Amino acid sequence: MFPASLFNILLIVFLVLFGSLASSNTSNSSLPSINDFASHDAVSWRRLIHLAPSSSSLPTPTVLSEGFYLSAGNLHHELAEQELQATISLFRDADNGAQAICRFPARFLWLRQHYQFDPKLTLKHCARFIEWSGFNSLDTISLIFVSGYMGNPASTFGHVLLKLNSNDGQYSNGFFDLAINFGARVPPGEAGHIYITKGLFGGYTASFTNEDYYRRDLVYTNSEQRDAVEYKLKLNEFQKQLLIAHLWELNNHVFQYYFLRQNCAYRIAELLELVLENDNIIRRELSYAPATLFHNMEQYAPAAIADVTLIPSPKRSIFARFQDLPKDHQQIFNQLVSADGDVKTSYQTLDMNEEQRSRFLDLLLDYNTYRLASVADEDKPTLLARRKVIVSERLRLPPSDSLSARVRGQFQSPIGGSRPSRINLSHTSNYGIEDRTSIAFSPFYYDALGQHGESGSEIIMMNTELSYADKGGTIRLDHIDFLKIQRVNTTTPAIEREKRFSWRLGLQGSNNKGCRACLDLDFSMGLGRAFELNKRMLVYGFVDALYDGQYKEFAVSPTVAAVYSYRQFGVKVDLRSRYLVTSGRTENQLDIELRYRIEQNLEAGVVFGHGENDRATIKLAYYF
Amino acid sequence: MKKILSLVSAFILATCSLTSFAEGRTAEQIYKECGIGGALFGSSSPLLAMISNITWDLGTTAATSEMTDACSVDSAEVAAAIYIHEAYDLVETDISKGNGQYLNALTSILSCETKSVDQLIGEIRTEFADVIDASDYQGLEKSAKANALYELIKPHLSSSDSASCSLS
Repeated sequence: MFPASLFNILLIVFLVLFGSLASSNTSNSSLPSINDFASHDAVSWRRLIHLAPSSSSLPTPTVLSEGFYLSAGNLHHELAEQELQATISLFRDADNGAQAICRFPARFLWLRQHYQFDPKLTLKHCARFIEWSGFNSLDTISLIFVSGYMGNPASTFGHVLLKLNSNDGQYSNGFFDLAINFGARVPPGEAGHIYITKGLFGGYTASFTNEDYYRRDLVYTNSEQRDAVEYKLKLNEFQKQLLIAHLWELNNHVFQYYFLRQNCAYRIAELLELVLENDNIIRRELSYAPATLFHNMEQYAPAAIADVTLIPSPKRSIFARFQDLPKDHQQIFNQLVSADGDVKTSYQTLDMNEEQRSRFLDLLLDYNTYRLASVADEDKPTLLARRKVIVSERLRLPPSDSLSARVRGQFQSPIGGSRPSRINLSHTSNYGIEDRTSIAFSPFYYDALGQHGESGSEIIMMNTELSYADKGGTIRLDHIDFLKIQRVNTTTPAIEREKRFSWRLGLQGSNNKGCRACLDLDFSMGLGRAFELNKRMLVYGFVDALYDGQYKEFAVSPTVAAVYSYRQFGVKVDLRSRYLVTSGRTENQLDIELRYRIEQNLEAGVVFGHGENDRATIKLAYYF
Repeated sequence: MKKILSLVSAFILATCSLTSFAEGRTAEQIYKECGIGGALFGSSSPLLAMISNITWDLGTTAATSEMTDACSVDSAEVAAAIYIHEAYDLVETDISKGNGQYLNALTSILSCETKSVDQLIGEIRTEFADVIDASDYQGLEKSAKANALYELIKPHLSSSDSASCSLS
């Protein structure tokens, strides 16, 4: 038997060993773990650290710059865990915790819902963050859709901004509130083809930037004359604070930029998914246009939208106010703004009462301001000379009594129509020659009959059609519209000197040989005129210059078309002729399309064609 | 080019001091030293190129953010100088009309300690009419026009001691 003293010694040794082992086990089990969270919280944590979703084939962190991630793991489930532990360790560090929470205020706000931290840790001491964000005076947050702009390829499909509305913003129209923008970092002077290639295939990085909102207004509305739609969001205090704190965390950090998906709308959608804890703001869309974000908000997060306001461009507002003028005032207006208009007209001699003269001069001045922003420098002296006289005359009259400048000029929100991507099923009969069944997909499809607020105008990108021959059973690549833009400008009645030309261009490939995937490329550019006969009917004509890839020669192609829309119905009649310059060959084609909108994102239609291509087509289109 | 911009930005950060900044300086001087356009592009203001869907490279963007922070628009004088310089045409338009979003934004940084907003607008319009009617006005560069307007606005700006019109 053991002596009692030896037994006691062994017992003590055993207890010390066991105790330390148990103690270390307890320390390890107190480490935070992603498994501590409910599944939706684990998703929120991954969103906060911008980890690609687990179903992604790229399970890597998406913030590329240094300083955002504290740990070095690459696999998404490891990084989520390691980043959690590293963040909490840093926040609990006695020497660095206070500074760390100022660097990662969103992580702090979010994590303190789940973990205990030193009660002395508070964001109130983060002076730079508080000052930048207006944390204490934030009222609401708005999501702003800026309509497409043809002057910049990257802007064609629209843009999205966030605006942090302060309590004081109501007195300044929010002009000194922060506007948050996400954009690609493109070196100056980049060549067009490089710009497009890199933009499409991830050749650029991108980041969030911020400035006073008026700077955005100066460019988007006053220089580029783009309409906007403002969605004021309904967020609780925590959601607002989390959003702006996370924007601070992302300041100067970079992401990879992909024009079709990981773009401005996508990155802002990620922020909204985080604060709304909603998986449906970004779904499984192959492409993510700015309009998609708003469609998804309306469909899957309507409770988060407090208010929607249409903001017409100054140009739209000016044209609307011009139409409100009596006919004789319109004539005077056109005389004054014409090239031969007298620079030093005395507006006091106009046959108008004081109020009429005030409104008239307001319109003249707004039109002068709009023109100044859009003309070349050599045209400015005349405008400035007229401006001096108008301003001087206007200052003699009492102030206007209302904010008339932006009130007039309502328009249909582009978000009110169908979603931007389209899949189309159709069956075409060439009257016994060859019947084909087709499927076509386009990430962005706004056509002349579409419900996107701009009747007659088109933006179609990468519309790719595969077809199956009913006889013979062959599948082939039938057609690709790489890019098709048609811009229809109607100003009725017209302000003198305004552009009345419509324009269009297109690059497409057509399978004319019946092979599997051989395409003849056509490129066309055209100018035309358009007339709005009434609110439902539009007629336009174009003359296109084009390169015919099938015949390998240049051609001229005049077109006349009419578009009629009434509620869910739409009709388009298109008559065109193509004259090939070298061979003298002429081809004529008449197409009549009837379309019925079954619901917002579902349409059915028939097309009858006669001429070079006799055919009848039935189709069903789904927008998503 | 990047090096030059970085040096310019660093110089501006080193010399930018908020309180002494606006004293005795013209709008153009304030704009050049605090306005983003001024720092990036010198005396011209190609906002079109700068503010669009695309942003510039990391160095200038970082400098821009830092600089905006350092030359904070806590000071109504700095805010007014930059704003007038960048939005001159629209501010001029709205002052002439006596109404408009760009005028509203300007009045939000004026002092309503002793006068109402409407009184201030009336005074500004009267004084501005004299500026416009000056014989050399038409030939002035935009920056000079902005300076003239800024000098007219300056006595009416709010300070920490006076009630801002945004509170009225």
